[in-house]
Amino acid sequence: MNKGKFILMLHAHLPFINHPDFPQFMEERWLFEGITETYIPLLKAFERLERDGINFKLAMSITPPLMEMFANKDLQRKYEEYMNKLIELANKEIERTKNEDQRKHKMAKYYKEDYEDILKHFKSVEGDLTKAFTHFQDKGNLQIISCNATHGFLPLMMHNPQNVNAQIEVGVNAYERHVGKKPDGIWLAECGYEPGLDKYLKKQGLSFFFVDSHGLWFGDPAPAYGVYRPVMTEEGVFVFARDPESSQQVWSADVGYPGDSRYREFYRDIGFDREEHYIAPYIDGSGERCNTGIKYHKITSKKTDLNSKELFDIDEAYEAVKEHASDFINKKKEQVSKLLEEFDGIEPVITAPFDAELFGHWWYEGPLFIEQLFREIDKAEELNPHTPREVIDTLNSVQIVTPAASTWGANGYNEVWLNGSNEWIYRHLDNAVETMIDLAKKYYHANELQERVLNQMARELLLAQSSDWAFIMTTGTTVEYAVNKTKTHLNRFRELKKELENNNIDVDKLKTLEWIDSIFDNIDFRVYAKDV
Amino acid sequence: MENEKILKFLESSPTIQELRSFAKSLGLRLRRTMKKRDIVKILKKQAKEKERKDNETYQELPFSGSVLKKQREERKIQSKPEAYDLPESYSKDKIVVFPINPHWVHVYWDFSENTKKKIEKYELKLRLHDVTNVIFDGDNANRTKETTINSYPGNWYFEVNFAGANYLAEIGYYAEGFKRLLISNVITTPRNFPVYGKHETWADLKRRKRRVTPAHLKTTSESAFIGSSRLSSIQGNPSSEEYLKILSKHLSGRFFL
Repeated sequence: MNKGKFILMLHAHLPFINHPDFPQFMEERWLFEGITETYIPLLKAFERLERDGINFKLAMSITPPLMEMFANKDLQRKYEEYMNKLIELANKEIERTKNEDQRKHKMAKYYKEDYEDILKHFKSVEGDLTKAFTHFQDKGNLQIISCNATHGFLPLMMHNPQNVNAQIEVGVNAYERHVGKKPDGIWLAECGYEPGLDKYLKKQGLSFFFVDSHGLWFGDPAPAYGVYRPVMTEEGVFVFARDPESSQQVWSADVGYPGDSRYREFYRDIGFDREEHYIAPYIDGSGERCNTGIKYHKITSKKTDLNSKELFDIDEAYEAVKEHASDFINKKKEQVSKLLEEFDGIEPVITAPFDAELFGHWWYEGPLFIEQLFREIDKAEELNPHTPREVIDTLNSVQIVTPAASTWGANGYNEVWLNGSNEWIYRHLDNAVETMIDLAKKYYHANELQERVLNQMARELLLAQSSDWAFIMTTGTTVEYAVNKTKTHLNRFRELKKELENNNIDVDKLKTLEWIDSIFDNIDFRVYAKDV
Repeated sequence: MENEKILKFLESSPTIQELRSFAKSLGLRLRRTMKKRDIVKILKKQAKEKERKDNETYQELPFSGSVLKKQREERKIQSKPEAYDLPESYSKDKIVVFPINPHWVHVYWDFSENTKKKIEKYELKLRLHDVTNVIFDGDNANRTKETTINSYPGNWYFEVNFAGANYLAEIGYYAEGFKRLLISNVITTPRNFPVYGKHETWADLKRRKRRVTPAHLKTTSESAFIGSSRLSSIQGNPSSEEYLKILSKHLSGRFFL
């Protein structure tokens, strides 16, 4: 029987944020929340599937900044401190909710056990979560792919080949360093593709990447099977395109599953609800309120205002998870049978890429949904889960298509990363890139100290290039941090350049920068001197 | 600690192949001609370097707020990002075009001191040329848009007529004809329509051969383009407040930030 092939692809990414000279730093919580709500819950879901002998297959990009943060000793230590505080808070909540609604008390106990288990998991892999995910890669369930170095937005770098190559090469090297072998495929930051990028991917030995649906719809020529079969570029790199139906089912703000009334409400958190003297030790040191992760309310309905939300019950939410996973798979089955008919029996490949942090961080029950989804697929005869590599290995022939310029940003192109709010960054980034290329050639035979300065300059440049900063400027939350991050990395770059050229290198300062902007320990600035 | 890892590995009397791949995994660069003892030497040096670095880091680890504060003050820089002023101009001749979407492109420019002197008495023009299927010689653009610019460095947004078309920008002035100062890179606006060819090319992966067949599209139906309505659903000048307000409310693929 001909079946459909299903590829779930989770893109796990956070920008590199490291403030080791501060006991705590608000933006470091992004990583900590990601670990507690998404990364470890996903690992736990994989473990349960493994234990129950369920055949699950998926792909995940774990970006270089995320792998670097997972391996960072300062951040690991701070995460443990953060979790110990959180467990302390959950214990207080258990006491406190004894006299409140019992649904709250139940959840307080649930959180405490959950946090303790998460911390146990974290310690069991000595904090290095890449290692934990690699276990599932070794078992054949998970294909971990790479991403360009600091998640720089490549469609706006195309006028500078060395820059594009450096983003990709440094990303590939980081993967190899953390995973122990070369990556097979790549997720391009923001799913951003421009014709011509495939040449750089090929050069780094990458055999596949992903595009949004319109990358193939408007490809040259329009592919025979639309987004439902991989294609190959002229350079010989395979391309998987996003299935719009899968995205819409999960992702859509109006009809997507995460909006169900029974699911946990993201915006009600005791970090905002509890009185100040009680919550102060568990929020940011400045006293600024923030999410703690302990939340007692459910969505109820989208129209319900935040103060009138009803209480959340994990068991009720779990019922919704089961319904949604089953609905998702039923729709996939229908889709497969329709496509099989249209394609005269050729097996459709359905590719469903998502931001990993949607599952758990935003949609609390998301990791449970993924687990349940694989349990449902396991029962379905019409559908098999695959990794991208497995799909490629089954291909006898493939259509050659040049994908169209596309991204998964709002509106589908580059506007999220280039508009009135963030246009100013590009002239500065471009200038730094050109400086880096010039210096890399000029100082190719640098002495040891010059080499350290140039490597640090490369780090500062790459950190300034994270697409996250431009993205945040567009969305309008925590803009100041993003603006200052961009300015600060560029400023550090300029100061290092001055010291290098004036032969007046401040070693203490350099050491501090190597400590705080410590991404890519083994970077070689000469990557910018390459002819590409 | 990585230095311990390296030393432990060296104790395990590895083969030259093992040494090579281990060194590579640390990101060390080896020459093809290197002998076993050369690689061991490099690894030992790396271990020593790591030990030094680790010691530095751990000595500097903060143990309490007050110690930390003192350390921060002693240190010349801290990790907290600040609103540094970036240079207004890099004093280099520069013009770059970016595609934004099928209907808009963005141009930025900057001038060298020399150019700044040269242009004092002229009114500067920024032109955007449609050079689709054209080898541009300065005069043969399919279409040209022109605007007066009065700031440098500066930037501009152009609304363009065609998706999937090639554009380049130039800056110059009129003095007995148009005198060019700067010319930009060429970009292609993203396509927002399908390309139906008469033929398809397929690669036979087993025989490593290509074959060309008549096109046999299976997905021309409306349903194949489900969701395409979200593309370019926001219209207008990407630099406007109004545009940004709508854009920031639309979901992108991302959920964390």
